[in-house]
Amino acid sequence: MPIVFEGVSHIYQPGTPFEWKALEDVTLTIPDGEFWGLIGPTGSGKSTLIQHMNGLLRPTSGRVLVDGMDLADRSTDLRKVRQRVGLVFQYPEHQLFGETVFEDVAFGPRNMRLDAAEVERRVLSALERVGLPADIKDRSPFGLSGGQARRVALAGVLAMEPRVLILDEPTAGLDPQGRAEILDLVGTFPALGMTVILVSHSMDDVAERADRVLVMHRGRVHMVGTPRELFARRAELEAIGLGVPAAVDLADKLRARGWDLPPDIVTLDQAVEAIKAALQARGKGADRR
Amino acid sequence: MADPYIVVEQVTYAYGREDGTDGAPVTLALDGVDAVVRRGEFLAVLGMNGSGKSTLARHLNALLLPRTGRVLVDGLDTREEHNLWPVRDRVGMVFQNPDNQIVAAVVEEDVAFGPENQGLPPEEIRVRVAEALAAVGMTAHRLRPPHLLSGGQKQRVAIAGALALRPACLVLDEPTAMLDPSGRTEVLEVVRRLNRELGMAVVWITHFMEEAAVADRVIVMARGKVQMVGTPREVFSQAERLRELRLDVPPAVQVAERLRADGVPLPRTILTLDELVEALCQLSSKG
Repeated sequence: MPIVFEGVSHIYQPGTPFEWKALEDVTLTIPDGEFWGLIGPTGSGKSTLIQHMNGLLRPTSGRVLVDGMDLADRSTDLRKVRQRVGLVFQYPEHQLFGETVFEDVAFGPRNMRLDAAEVERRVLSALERVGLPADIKDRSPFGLSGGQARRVALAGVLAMEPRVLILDEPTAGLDPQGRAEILDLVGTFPALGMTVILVSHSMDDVAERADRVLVMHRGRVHMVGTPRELFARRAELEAIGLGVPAAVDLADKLRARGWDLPPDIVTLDQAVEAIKAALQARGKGADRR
Repeated sequence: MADPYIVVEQVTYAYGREDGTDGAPVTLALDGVDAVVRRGEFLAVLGMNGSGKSTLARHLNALLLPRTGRVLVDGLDTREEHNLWPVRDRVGMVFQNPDNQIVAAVVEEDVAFGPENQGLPPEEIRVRVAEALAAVGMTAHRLRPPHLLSGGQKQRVAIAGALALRPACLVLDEPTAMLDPSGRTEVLEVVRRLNRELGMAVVWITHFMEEAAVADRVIVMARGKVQMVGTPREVFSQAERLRELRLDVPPAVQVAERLRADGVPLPRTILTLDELVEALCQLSSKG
């Protein structure tokens, strides 16, 4: 179920002194089963964009199609759209409310009017998928650690078995290993046929994991491409206040000192391999021993 | 190195009721912590979620008081009630979410909130607000409503609010966690400059290893205890130990570590990308 934007604009509070054009003529297609990174400075339109993907916001002009359904069409069942397009907000654990983890995760499936057996199956499978032990289901969500609570919130969305999962900065405030664990987990979803859209401020996270990156700036699509294509245009990214991953920065610094490195380094793995190869070519590598 | 400004001695702290009658299991958020903040230093505090770093931060200006042990700020014991306001005048605090710290509808009124509460004369308040806003580079925005500012700008206003009390030490608890990369750089640069120019001690709590890399010293917390203390170079040269504590090392250290594992003779002291580039260039030019 591809997500298609056709000339979408969104204006907040039109016709008032506070009128603000948050999206301007956005056209793009996100195909099935891909991992997309969505980056852009604060105020670039990222949040407005993702809220159009499950009908929380409607375009002022243009069309959004999810699986062929026009979200602006009053006859489209938005509930159905929201079950297919799951949205995980920033700090989602702030929205936990159930008396037990089970109750919390079951909220979505129950709203879908599934029978009790199916609700239970989905809750248990979602908890397993986010890497939580089954016996956590009877605990209060408020006694959990930050990382566990965030997983419970994520399980609540997964339990609706969405086809598209949108995550708004899912690693904000987590320690480095907590960050890596959530990103590793989310990285397994595309192989299961789920489309993942990750809103992130971290160029390194996006470089390491995304198939394709969408850069928003002032409400417009600034660039779309693979991490390699994108980070080759460093000056354009820096001009809008975005950086590049550490690996790109390292490779550029070495090139400036005369190192001959391949043009497509975006991850630390690639940087390490390229440096080893270059040292070997100069006869300075480890394998000279 | 300068003498200690804040001394934390054998501090223990647990959330929940002191007598345990609320039935919550007693886990120690701080478990015998000894630490020092030196005059004028930039001290970074690292630790996984739940390691006790925010609890420690809240002890530095008497937002929390030790169950056992003591905290001395400029020689003042935070447990003494009459020391509460003198301590808070000396140690300012900035939190993660700028939206929760801004109280007024206009930037300069927000910055004036602290000095007004201290009952300073209006002339003095005006001088301090102007100084504080200039120090964080927000003078041009002084008449704007805070909600129209970017996250980085709001955080600078929150810092100005703390500065208006002219603290000798500023404690910042994950001040960049909710900011985009340019906001993060903006806030870190302002605070580093204040540290250098005013000689104000800074305690910078963060999950970002590269931010800790610019500090004078780093404290690593886990399970309510101080696990490591040292210069960034000393701390980040122990990558294995840091990973055990659910932390990581900056990218330059990661790359150097992996090249060393493959036999490339790089020094263990590399901390930044520039140092790594320098070391690699030297290596490749040697005969």
